[in-house]
Amino acid sequence: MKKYLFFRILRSLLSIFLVTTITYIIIYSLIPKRDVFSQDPLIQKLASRPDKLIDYKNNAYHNMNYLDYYDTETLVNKVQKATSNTDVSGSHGKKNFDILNKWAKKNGFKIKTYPSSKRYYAIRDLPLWERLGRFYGNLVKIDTPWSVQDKNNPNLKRYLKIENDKWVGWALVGSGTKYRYQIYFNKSFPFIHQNIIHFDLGTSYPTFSGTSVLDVIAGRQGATVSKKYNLGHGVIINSADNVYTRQYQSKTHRNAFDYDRYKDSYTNLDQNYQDPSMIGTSFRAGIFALIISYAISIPMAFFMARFKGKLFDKVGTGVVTLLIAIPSLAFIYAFRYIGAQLFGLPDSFPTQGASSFASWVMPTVILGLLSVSGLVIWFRRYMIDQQQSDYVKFARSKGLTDNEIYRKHIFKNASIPIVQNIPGMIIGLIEGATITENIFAMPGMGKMLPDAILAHNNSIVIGLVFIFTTIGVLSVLLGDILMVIVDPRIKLSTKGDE
Amino acid sequence: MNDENILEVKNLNVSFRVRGSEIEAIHDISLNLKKHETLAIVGESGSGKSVLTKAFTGMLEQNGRISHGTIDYKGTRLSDLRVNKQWDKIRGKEIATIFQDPMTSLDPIHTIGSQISEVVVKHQKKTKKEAKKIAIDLMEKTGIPNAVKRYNEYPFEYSGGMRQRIVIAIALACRPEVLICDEPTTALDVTIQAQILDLIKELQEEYKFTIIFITHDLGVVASIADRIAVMYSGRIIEIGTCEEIFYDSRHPYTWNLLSSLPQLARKGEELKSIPGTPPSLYKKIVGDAFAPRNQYAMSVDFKAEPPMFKVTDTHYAKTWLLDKRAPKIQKPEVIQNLHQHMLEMTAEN
Repeated sequence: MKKYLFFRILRSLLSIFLVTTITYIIIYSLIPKRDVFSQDPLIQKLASRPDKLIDYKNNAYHNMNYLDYYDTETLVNKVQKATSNTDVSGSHGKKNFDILNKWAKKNGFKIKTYPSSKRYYAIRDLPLWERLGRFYGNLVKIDTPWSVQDKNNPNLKRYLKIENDKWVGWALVGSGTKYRYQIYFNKSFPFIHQNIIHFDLGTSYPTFSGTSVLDVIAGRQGATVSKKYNLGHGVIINSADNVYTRQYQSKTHRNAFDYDRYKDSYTNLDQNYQDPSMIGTSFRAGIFALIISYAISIPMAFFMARFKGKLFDKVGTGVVTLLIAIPSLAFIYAFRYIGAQLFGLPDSFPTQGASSFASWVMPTVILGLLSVSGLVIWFRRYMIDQQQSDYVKFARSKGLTDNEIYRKHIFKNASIPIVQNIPGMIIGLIEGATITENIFAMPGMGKMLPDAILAHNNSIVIGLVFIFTTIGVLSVLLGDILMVIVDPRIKLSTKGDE
Repeated sequence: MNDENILEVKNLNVSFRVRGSEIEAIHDISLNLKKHETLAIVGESGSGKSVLTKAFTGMLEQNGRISHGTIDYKGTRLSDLRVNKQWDKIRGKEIATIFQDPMTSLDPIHTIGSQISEVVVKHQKKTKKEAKKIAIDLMEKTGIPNAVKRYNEYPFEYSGGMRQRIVIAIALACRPEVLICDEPTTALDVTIQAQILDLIKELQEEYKFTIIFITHDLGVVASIADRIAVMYSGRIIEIGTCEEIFYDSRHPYTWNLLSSLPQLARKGEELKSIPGTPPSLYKKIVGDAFAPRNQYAMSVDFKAEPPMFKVTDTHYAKTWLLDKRAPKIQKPEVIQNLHQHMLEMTAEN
């Protein structure tokens, strides 16, 4: 079993790697890079300032790993450092050009001039394999006490210790690390959090320009909210700072107010936002929808099979057929209309926002109901298949009552194929329900991939492909493991593995 | 009801509703089951053996019903029971059934132990702990080695023969008065068959239950039955003690059955078989059901149904050949000296 799991995970990682790499190669080799600007309004505005335009475009390419770009100032700095020649400057002239060009040739760059100011800048096209290397090289970042190397702060202490911090309580606190709190606990799911391992899927552009891809997907949204921090000794601070995200900030960047508050160099932090992230919104709606759909369909299918051919079964079959026959779009709109007219529920998510329970009711109920029919049909079918089996006949002949047979034997056997699908369904929810989320204008994952593709947001597309592949592969694995738990006949093992 | 009898069946008809027409699967069967005896019911596939015993435990398919006659069990009129609730008191506790295929008779995802003790808890009213002890006891009695360890194993970890032993253990855990064995050895290979038959016999001596043994294997019957009932298309056509059926059978169908025993085949000759096929139940059977395949059939056989003729106090047969007016007919030569044959065969073995 251990050996099997090891190889299974290895294969999973390989397939994630392959899918992501192939997507990466397709996007970065077949789609012309200028297309990333096709939706960018800034391009129009910058048309009258050609230097700025060039700078803007190259910076964008740089951020998306198409090329390395040094503007005049950076270029001159680099060259001065490399050649210890302080004479050189970025303005037009043969002498400057020769020095810069010598450096550029050595390092694979090309020297170019801005159209109006005629100053020099340098670019280097990154070959595809190097781009890929950077993507995977930056993918996982592990925080250690030696992560921060700041020349301005040579006395920075380097340690990891467990202590009762006044801001976050008991935590694994680091110094010299990028994040102050390496492991901490709080009331939000999953209660134990870590800052040791971070994933970096690149920077989003042109939509959510400049934000990291993971922040776009998993960062909280909406307005900031302040939170009470009780520091003991009667000191209570009201702040919108999310202290769990405290990161190292060098002296030159930090502001005195934050330094005064936190008394150390970890002053770079995010804010508390009131709404869940996109992935969180979809997941929340999805998980409740899942609960609703199972809570309705499992008992319904159970009793339909139990009283097969009787009135309940007939009515149930009718309802299920109806649910299948109605196009989901019509169903969603009809249900939304009924909910809004009869129960006064908001027909759009943002009217009351994520903090209001009422906003969640209709989308989740609709999502749940949409999957009821399929589940009922299959579970009823599995139950009926079990009814015909020999062990049920024997159970009856040994004197068990119908209730005992259904409860102990048929139900358990029939749920095996259902159980295997549960992780897959949960994961499917994370990927979002495009139509429902669109109709209710929910800030979820549903529209993200098509939006990113339309906007040529390559980083997001690759990030999403990576995330979806990962959770897809993992969910299949999880389903198989669940299966092993409920069905003793199934063992995860390779041949000859005992 | 006679004290000696534990089960009395009178003029029983069982019919099924199939595609709008009523089909009679059991026709006018009367039968008494004596306490502690082993009654074998033999007949070819579709002769109604299983349907008959299903009627005893209320396990007829939904479209089936007892259309005429009565079944009495120890003062309870089983033929009047309608709902499952009433049957729950009979099934298992009074009449238990073990089925043909041990591979599928057990729930695949519950442990062997839990499936036995589940029944002990229910029928013997014990706590779970006591039930476990009793279950392990039963497993040992039915010949499961290492029962304590194997208590927690699953059916897929058992071989076919072992599973049938477990099925028997479960049936015994109900402490039934009547045990219906519906071809319990058909799915097993020959050596295991013999073991299982021995086991059933031993357990019968210890627990003193009555057995109804359904089979189409006359060899099996010879080794286990006290009495034999031969069925043909829903009728019992001959019933008698084991000796009477084997050595003094009177119905041509029984003769044919015995002639086709593979043990009687001679080298170089084809195996005997009964020509033709059993009658379709969709048409009403007139006269003797076996008549069309019967080489001794008389014209009366096609016109009127023969009554049960008494041969001895224990031996009855349903054939016009026993009528005073019928011509004397010798039974086929092969089975005339069946006793002798049998002795020879056992000597050879």
